[in-house]
Amino acid sequence: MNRIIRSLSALLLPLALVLSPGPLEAQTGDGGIVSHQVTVAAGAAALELEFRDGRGLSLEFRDGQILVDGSVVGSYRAGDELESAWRTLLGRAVALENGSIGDLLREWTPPTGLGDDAAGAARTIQERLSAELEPEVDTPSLLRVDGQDQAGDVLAQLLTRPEWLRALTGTVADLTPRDLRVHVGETVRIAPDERVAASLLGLESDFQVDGQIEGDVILLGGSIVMGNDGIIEGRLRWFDTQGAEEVAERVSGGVARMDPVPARPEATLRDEIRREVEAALEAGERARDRSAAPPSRVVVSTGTGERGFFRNVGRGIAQVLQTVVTFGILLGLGLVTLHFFPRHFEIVARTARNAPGRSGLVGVASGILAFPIWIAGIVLLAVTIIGIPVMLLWIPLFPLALMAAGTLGFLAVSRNAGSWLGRRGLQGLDSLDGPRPAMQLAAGLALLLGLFAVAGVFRMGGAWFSIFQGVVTFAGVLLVVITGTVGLGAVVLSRGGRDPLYAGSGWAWGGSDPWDDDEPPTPPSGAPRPQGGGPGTPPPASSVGEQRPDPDGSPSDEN
Amino acid sequence: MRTDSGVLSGLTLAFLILVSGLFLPGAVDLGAQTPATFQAARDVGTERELTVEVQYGAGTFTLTPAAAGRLYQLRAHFDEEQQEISHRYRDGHLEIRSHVEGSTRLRGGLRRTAEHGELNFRLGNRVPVRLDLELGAVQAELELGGIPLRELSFTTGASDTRLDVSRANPVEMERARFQIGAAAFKARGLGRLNAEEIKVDAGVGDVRLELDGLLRDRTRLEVSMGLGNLEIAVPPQVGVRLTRSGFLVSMDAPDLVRNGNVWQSRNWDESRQQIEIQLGAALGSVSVETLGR
Repeated sequence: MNRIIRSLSALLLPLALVLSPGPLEAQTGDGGIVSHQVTVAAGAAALELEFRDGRGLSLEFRDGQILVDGSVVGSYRAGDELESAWRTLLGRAVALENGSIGDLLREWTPPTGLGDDAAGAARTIQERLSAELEPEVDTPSLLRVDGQDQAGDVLAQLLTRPEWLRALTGTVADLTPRDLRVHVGETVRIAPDERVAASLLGLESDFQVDGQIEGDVILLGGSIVMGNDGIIEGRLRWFDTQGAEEVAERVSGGVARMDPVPARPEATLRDEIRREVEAALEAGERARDRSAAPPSRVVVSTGTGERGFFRNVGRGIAQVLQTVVTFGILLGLGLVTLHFFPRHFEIVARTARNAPGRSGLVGVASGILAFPIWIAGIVLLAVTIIGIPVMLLWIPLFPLALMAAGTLGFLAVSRNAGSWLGRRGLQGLDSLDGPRPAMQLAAGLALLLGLFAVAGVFRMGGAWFSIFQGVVTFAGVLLVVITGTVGLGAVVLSRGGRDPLYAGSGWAWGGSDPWDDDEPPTPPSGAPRPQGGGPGTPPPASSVGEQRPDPDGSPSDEN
Repeated sequence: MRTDSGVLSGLTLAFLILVSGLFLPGAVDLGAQTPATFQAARDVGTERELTVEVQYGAGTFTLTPAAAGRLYQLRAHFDEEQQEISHRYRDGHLEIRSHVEGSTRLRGGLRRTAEHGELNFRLGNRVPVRLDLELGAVQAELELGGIPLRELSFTTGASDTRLDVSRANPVEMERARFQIGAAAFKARGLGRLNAEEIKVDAGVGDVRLELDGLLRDRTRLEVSMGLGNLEIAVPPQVGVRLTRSGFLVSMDAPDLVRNGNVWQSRNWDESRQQIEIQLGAALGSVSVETLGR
């Protein structure tokens, strides 16, 4: 309903301008209040006002005390007559949609028959309200309608000529706020020695201007003739007026024909009205529901509980599915890598297993240095003409290579996790033990991503499980970050799975390499020899599953 | 093995107990309500622009145009045991925040807060607004028709949101941004936002975007979708070009002609108004339909 009122208000704005008893800026009914704040709760009923000149007023009933601007002026008992009257007043203020709270406060009178203390406090409140609220002033009209009882004529003229109304709508927005005289169906003559210190609005009026008009002239219909001494200092705007175009040279502010604001399509207006009526009916029902309850006992039922539960279940299922899809994608990538690059995959996995600390540190360093290296590469390549085409490849390929390395490392460590799971001896998981990299990879990924699926299950429980969901998600993210970092480091340490230096004794010089048909490389003379994947001691030709120290110096359990 | 199984059994049991606790009668009815009402309103003063930040955690939220002469109005109903509403205005900057008590979540009060909390917010039509809305577990209805919005940022965690722009935004907007976590989001009249670019980041859920009422000759829509269903509806006279990136996304655009990863309407070249859609989606279905058909 508000929008209907606003629509009509917009339509009748010109009328308001013409017929209003005061200027548009003045809002006498609100007592100078520019802002108000109402709080109604169990232990408090408070009103705060702010006035146009910056003054403020705070009136509070709080925890048995009555406060005005923070100072105690009396006391009350919960539910007593004064507090009930105050709460009723605030309830009415809350219920006000667009009405004047100033009028409401001005009209408030405390109940009679109060005790001395309560009566004193009530009197203080009423006096402060009277003192602070600006009195309702009968502001002298700046807009004057000449002639008696012409307001009705103005209304009738405008309402029967909608194109005039629309023309006026487009004009009033920038109308100089001066004294405005309105003439309806009159013959108006400005005498040669006459000086009009106002703007004129003529509706179907005939103007003969031989004197001077200081303000603007707006003419709807009618005619205008200007004598030799006649002059309009403001602007002349006209619509459907005879002679208006011929008097341009006597108008200092220029002459302009008013263009009617285009009418809104009926269908649009009809739809808006229909929606407004529906909204107003709903609002009315809600207001009736609320008014049936005490002012402070507001209960709004949204009926979202069951839907919220099913929504949570849906979202939880979605998260589980998301995890499953991620699992599938990673498993696919892993199987492809295992199929085409089995040796590289194995070397990275063993590097991560035998040198987890070193891999982790290298992974962290790689993560930190990746961006500066990328930027440095761009800068270095950009300074040479030859480097520019290489730079165009460097920009996308370096991040891609880094992502590929991280993924490879993550998959390799996942495979290690699957292998570890197989060695736990858990029933049903025995088959993971042994040289079954694909199954180990699948089991490892399930282990690492499983936490996200569990988080999805907790999510189904909604807000009550949000803390569990958060903890599990955090653990999952932490696990994935650690795995990815160690994996990335292992990829770097093993030069992308090509260098078995840290891959353990079975992979270093002299060790057997099930993926390699060639003889193992002979270490360069004088070169440090790895010990358990690290430099130092020649490793025995051992198979996978041996107990040996890891390159970080700590024992590593391969079993 | 025994230890692992024991831990697993324990976790399962704990989970079942917690789940069953949800359905026990009165499991969530652990305390009485203390309803409270808060209302604030301000008339237009000397403001040239209004910056509004709203953070509302749980409940029902509505945003509609305010009465003439009002800068803004807000009215909140809430349970003061569980929620606080704060409101601060200073020099053209308005902040409205709700705070849900920390212990409420575990006492089962969040749902109750969401059921009984309500915030009605209105914005005037005389002062241009930069609006930043952050909603949590909220059922939201936004009617932005006629509100002069210079900027719009809408973030929601897990809410059902219906947005309607029934009347044109009288000021030009550079960008409208919607970040939708796991939610249902339906928007009508997005063209009336008068935005050069509309950006939608959606995580999981159902999203419907109706671009009717276009005011600009060229509008860019950028949609990033994680998992879920996305429906885009465009007016028939408007030229549409959609570029898709992503995988595992099913596209249904019967009125558009496909060329690789680009879908384009037949009237693209001669249409006065055009919408360029950049779509990035990971998993789900996307449909582009023509309004009124």
